[in-house]
Amino acid sequence: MKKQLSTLLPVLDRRLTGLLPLLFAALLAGCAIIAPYDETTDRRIAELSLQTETALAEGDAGELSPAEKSDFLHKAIGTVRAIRSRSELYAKNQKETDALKLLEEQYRDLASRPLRTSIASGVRLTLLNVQQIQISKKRSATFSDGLQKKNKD
Amino acid sequence: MPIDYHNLLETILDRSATAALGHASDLKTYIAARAKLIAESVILIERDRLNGDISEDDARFAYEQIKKSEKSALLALQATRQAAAQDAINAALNVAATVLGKAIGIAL
Repeated sequence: MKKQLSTLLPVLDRRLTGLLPLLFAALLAGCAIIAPYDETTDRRIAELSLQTETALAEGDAGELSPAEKSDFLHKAIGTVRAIRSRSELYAKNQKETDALKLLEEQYRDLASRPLRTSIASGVRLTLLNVQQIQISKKRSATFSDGLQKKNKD
Repeated sequence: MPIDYHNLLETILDRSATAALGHASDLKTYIAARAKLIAESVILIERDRLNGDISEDDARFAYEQIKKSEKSALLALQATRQAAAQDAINAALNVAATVLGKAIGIAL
């Protein structure tokens, strides 16, 4: 175990700099420092990402009329607002809601531009960032479930 | 048998580090995906501009949007770090509860 520990600690130190203040802050705050994983939010973001990639592929192929583009953007903005409303119901979810605010802004910015993959790079990157937040929450939820199961056994 | 401090500390550190390392692995995947997407975007902006599908102003806009998304990248990194910290804490508390529970014979 000593060997494993000596291997793990430098890696942890390098990759997760600043972890210790957070650990202390969390201990003081009663351990929950991030909102719980929400499967519905995760699924809706994945769906929005799929719809966005589809619309962009149509735009790249010149198969998206101005009306279809406008329709897509309205639906995307509506979806982001709905996800954000749900996200705001959870405490300690500020990072996710802030990222969603930015995503809405970036969809709105696209209104006056040709809808192409190149132009929507920012939206695609922010979608990826929001998905990363879901991945980290899901890992935490799985980890907590594992601990609880282990304690029951 | 009394609790061995050094053994307990090592176990807590080991479990905490293992818990946090799962997130480090996710982070590596995320950073690679992000780098790939940025590189792909640069190629697409160049291609669309050279083909005349977008204007010079559109190309500038696309680049500004990539820069703008850095805000949400920072939020994603912070959220991942918090999740790693939370798992490390829970792992440590779990070890503490198990060891103490066994030592003094109570369920914690």
